[in-house]
Amino acid sequence: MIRHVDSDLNSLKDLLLTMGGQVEKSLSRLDDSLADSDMKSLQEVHEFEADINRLHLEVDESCLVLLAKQAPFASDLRLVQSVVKINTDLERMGDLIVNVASSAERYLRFTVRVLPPQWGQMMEEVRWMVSNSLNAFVKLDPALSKQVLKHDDIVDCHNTDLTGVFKERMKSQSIEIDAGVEALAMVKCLERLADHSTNIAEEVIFIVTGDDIRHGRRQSV
Amino acid sequence: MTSSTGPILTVENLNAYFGDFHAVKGVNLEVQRNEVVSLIGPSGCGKSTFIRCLNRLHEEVPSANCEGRVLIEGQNIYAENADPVVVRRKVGMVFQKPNPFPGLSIFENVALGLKLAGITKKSVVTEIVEWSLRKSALWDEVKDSLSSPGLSLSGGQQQRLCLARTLAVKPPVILMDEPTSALDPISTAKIEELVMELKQEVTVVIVTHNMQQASRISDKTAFFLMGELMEFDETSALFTNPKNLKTEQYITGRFG
Repeated sequence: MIRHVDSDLNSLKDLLLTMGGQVEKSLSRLDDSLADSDMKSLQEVHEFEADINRLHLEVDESCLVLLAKQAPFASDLRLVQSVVKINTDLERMGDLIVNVASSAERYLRFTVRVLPPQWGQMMEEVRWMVSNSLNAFVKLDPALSKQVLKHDDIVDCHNTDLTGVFKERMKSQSIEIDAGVEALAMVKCLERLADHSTNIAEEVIFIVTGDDIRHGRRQSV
Repeated sequence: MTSSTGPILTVENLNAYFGDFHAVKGVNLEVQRNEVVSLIGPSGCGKSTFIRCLNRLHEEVPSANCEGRVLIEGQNIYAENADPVVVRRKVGMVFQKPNPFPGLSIFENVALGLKLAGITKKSVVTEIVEWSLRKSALWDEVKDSLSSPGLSLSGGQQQRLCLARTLAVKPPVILMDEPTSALDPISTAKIEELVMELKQEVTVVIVTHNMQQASRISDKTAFFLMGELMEFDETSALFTNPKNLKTEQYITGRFG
């Protein structure tokens, strides 16, 4: 049976995925820029923010209209509620990527420009989580969501390691305090990006199963 | 209108038939006091037949019969010595189409049930009629025209008059069969508000095709399909995360 609401729900999903795509591109540009220590390319990361913010408003408005016009129930209702929350996550992710870029611009102005190898490893994990949390949403795949949740532990380990590395470098004065502070902010933002990806993964599980696994309720999964 | 504890309504293995047609199939259900329970499901699923079994109206249809037990306040309404008239006094009903008694005034419409119940003292009757009309949120609109015909009221007012008529005999349970399907949104909202207020005193079982209405006013919802009770749960759970795939498909408009 063809439902009119399906057309609206599919449009909503497409809009959210467009936004997710912009977040992914923004993160990719950030990664490439840092790998090449390319200041010009780094500044281009800021250009994605306006588009992400515009989509943030569009998704919110679409959810509101869909709720008012279609009054969805059950899995349709869970989907719309989760889109509202994922929308907020993606907008914050866009902000965090810009924050990393801004900190990186300042970091790269100092003499020591080489990021430790753990940075690349952490970035790789975060990019995997962002990409696969969105894939899990596209496919409504709880199994993939659970994998994303597991990867958050890996990111947390990288976060601890990298924080230690930068603190040590600051203590040993192998980097200036100002550079260290920016580096620590970058690591923290990356860790927060992973947290937002876990939020998206948790929402996918909620959409599909109706189980709310947030705040320590993951044991049930 | 009763303060006892335990379920007010218990349905055990209820089967209802129209001749050979098996309309309600082995339904078991418990309704607690002061709950509003909505019955939803596609047309022909047996929900109206089901509630008509709860006050022995079903048997009034030629060739119709039912089996099983229906306990109201612990008493089986299908027991050999159970009187259908007494049952219907304890289990009132409001129908889809407002049906005030033609030829009777507003006052008489509400008072008639009392007269049949043997309550004839004028002061008592007057007091109960006013109480019923107030409970139905109709008093302020009709207090100066109580002798006007019931049929002179608007559709929404007529339905509230029917509710007042039902309330007058103070039944512990009220059944409603799509009571707002013929009403405009304002009249519908009034009936819904009344149901939510009345549940302080009575238990309401309501058949509705309007799922928004079910989700707004009921504590629990039962989903019927082809005569079977597919799912019965807290309304908040059933409309956000139904356990039965058929319920999910129905409430999301995938069939029906």
